[in-house]
Formats: sequence, structure tokens, C-alpha cells
Amino acid sequence: MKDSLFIISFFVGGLFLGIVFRDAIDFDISRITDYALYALLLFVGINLGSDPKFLSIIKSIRPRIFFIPLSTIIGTLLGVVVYHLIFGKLQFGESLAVGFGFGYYSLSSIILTKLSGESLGVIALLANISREVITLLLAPFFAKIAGKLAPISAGGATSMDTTLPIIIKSSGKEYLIHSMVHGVILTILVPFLVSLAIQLF
Amino acid sequence: MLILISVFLIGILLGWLFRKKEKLEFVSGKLTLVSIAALLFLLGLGVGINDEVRNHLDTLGLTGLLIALFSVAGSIFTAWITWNIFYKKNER
Repeated sequence: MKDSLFIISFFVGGLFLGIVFRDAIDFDISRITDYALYALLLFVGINLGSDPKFLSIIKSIRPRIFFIPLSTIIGTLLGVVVYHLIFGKLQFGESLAVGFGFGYYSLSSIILTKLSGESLGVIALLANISREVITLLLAPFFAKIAGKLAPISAGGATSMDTTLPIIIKSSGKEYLIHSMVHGVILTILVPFLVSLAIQLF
Repeated sequence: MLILISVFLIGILLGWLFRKKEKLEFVSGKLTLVSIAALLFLLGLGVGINDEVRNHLDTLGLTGLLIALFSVAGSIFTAWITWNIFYKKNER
């Protein structure tokens, strides 16, 4: 949560400076963004690979556990289809790419800014922050109405870190591994699924 | 896009190869945070100088919130199905 506020403050700071100096800025921001994005993905990868729990989490995976991230992916897909049928302002692939951020707002918003532009980047940022906040607020309620996997699914990629404490509180300690495996798998899939969605549809 | 994915996989491999280096996880975590901060600063900057995007922040925000609500609702629905098929009976 502290990290999120720290990160958001940089977005707001950039926004503010951009508005103030919008006539003075004539360099190509996307060029710098490219290199920063490569750096980010490299660091995220290193961080994931060097986590002492990484291998033990991967090893503790039993086939059945894959149904949880799979159901999150299918559920998100269903949700976006319904959203698209009712509102449908964006192209389907754009909405799906936003949904496939699974709460990982920093990475998904940046990838979509690069692949599509600032509008979709901002939508992805706000959608995926909302997913995290909704889960933080409503996880206990989700566990009550839809079973103990619901808070994990709602949390998406964040079920391994920011929303993990509230998920454990709502579903019980027995679901710690499920929640972490779910988060790790979705975190790994975010870059693939986001770019796949925007390019296929 | 292929470069992005390759860089990511190379990162995982590097992290795993050098996982014995004690500070690596900590340092890469901090560097992740720094690059995220830099990128979101740049995204903010890009939005700030883009009249089109800046003038539609409220609509973009609403779209984002709606996609989040539908995504979460769908996920809870399928989680409920998975729960009932695979997990519920092992509970007690």
C-alpha cells in the first residue's frame, strides 16, 4: 500500500509537470519509455527468479491448483465480454487487454501505453488499481458469497503480495500456497496475455 | 513485443541462476520500484502534454472502473464454479 502511494505520486507528479510544461516538452517520451520498460521487465524477472520461494512454489504446484488461475482468466474474459456487450466503447481487444492486467497496474498500463497509446495506458492504470482496491475492501464478502477461492481470483496477480494478507484473513491460512501460486502464474502471464489480447482482437 | 518477453524471461533465468547472491532479490526489488516510478512519471508526463487524453480523464477513469468491476465479477463467478467442483468437498 505504501509502495502503491509512492508509485501513484510519480504518476501525479508527471501529470502535473506535463500540464505545466506542455509547450516546452518537445522530445519523444516514448523513446525513453521503451528503455525504461526493458529495464523494468528485466528487474521484475530477476526479482521473481531470485525469490527463495520461487522454486518451492513452482515445485509445490499440483495439477488441480492450475484451475484457480485458469478460472480467473476465463472469469475475467467473461466479465470483459459482458462489459463489451453492454458498453462496448473500446475495441474488444483493448478492453480485454485492460482486464488481462489482473491488477498488475504498473506493468499493464506501461505495456499498453507502448502498444496502443496514452488513453489505453490510463484506462489500464485506473482499472487495475481499482481491481486491487476492490479486492482489499471486499475480499471477506467475496469469500462469504462465492467460496474461499473468490478472494484469490478477485485479487488476480496481486494475490501473491498486496492482497495476500486480506485473502488469508478471508479464506484461511490453508489457502496461502494457492494464493501465491495463483499470483505468480498470473504475474508471469500478464505481459503475454496483455500483448496477445491487443494484437489478436 | 518479442523483445519485451525475451527480456522478461532472461530476467527470470538470471535471477534463478544468481539466486544465491543474498542481496539480489532486495536490490532487484528496489530497482523494480525505481523503474516503475520512472515509467509512471513518464506516463503522467505523456498524459499531461496530450490535450486529447487530458481532457477525457474522467471518461477514461470511468471506463477503467467499469472494466475492473466486470472483470472481478466474472472472476468471482468462475472461482465459485471451481470451488464447488474441485475444492468444496475436501474442506471438512
